[in-house]
Amino acid sequence: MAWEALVRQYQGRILGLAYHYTGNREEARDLAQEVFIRVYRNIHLCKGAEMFMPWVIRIARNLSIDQQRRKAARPTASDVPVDEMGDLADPGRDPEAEWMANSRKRLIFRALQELTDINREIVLLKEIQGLTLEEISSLLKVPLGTVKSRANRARIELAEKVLILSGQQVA
Amino acid sequence: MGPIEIDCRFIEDHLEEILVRALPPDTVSAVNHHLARCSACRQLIEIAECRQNPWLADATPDFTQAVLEKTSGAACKKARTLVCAWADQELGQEEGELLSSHLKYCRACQALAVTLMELKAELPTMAEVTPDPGFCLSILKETVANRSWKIRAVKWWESLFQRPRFAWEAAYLGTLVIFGLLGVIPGFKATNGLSAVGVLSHRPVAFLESIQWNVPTLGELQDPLASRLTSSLDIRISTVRRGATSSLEEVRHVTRQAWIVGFTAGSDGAGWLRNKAVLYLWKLKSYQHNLSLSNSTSKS
Repeated sequence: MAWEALVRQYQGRILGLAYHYTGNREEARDLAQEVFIRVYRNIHLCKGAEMFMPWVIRIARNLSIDQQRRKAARPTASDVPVDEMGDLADPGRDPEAEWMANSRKRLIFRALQELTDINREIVLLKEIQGLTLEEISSLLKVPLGTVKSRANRARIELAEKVLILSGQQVA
Repeated sequence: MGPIEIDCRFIEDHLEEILVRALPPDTVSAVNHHLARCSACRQLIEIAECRQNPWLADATPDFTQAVLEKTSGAACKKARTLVCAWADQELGQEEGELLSSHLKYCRACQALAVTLMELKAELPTMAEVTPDPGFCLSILKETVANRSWKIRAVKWWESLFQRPRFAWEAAYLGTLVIFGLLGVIPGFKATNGLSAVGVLSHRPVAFLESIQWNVPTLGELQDPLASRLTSSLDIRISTVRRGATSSLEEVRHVTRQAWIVGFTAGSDGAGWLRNKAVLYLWKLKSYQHNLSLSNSTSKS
């Protein structure tokens, strides 16, 4: 029962995290499921409740990297570009599709995809997942100073991408 | 009493009172009524409220910018370093005021600051995605409920195939197996020099049983040979176990039958049996060849 409560509590967040890492609905679902299976098997390795989310993010990140390597080794025909996701989604049926159908969020999501890998991940971890700079530094194995300087730069870059995508003037 | 009638002259005379909103309510409604109809008075009010400035229309629009370019340079670069802290409300008073005054006149930086403020509110809402109702159940099914060894084995097998370097690893392992069977690698050789062939030939019952386990698959083929093989297997296993007949001959006989069944049928089970039968026949042949060689050597 405790496990079920934990799954229900974190499923939305882990699915959201998986979306950001994969950019694809089906892969995100598979990845989120795999994350939960890993969590279930290794829950004894988690060091306290406050470390749960950083630990889960680490698992999701590692699994996502594995998944990307597999994809690179065996490219499949089912890969869906981010731009097509809205077209494929059916907002009437699927809550996940509703999320993607939200045009503003879609725009931000597209802007995120246009960032460099490191900047996108810093925005994802700091602004979306709410991790501290120290946690991000440890997770990405990047010096704290680098994370600090990149965090603001990444936010400005994202804001500029959003402005460009929404057809506004950029400084 | 009807509404007060006012004209353009009234607006001009009471302009200051209109701007500071010092008129009584009934007069205000009459003024609004007049302004709705009179564009000249509307424009006058806009000019008085500094919403329009016809005298500065022909002046240089970016006068300040032109001065900055010739002196300290544009302030946008410095503004970009502060704008994140400003959006987070972490900026000191002095820097905050300086940035606010820049944002008041720089549209691009203003748009950037507004977008940063919006993103600050919007990005955390993107952390969660509402999953479909079956998602939680599917996870529970995968983890707690009925996660038997079979499912885990299948998952492991699938993940093994999906590994990036699987092709290389499989080729490497395959090479090792082939060398092992051929007896080239010393570690794979048995002490009597007959390698794996000798070991296999001494376990005829096990081999017969392995065929028997595949009989349900063969039975589905509706093949007369399959049914004959099914009926004869029990008898053969019992005779071999009793030691009433030559075990090697029995193995050879059943293997040939299995090969025929596997060759004539097309299903997966039959294919497996065919491949296995071919392998065993080859091994038996090689075993007998080795046996005759060793016999002739000992005689000579």
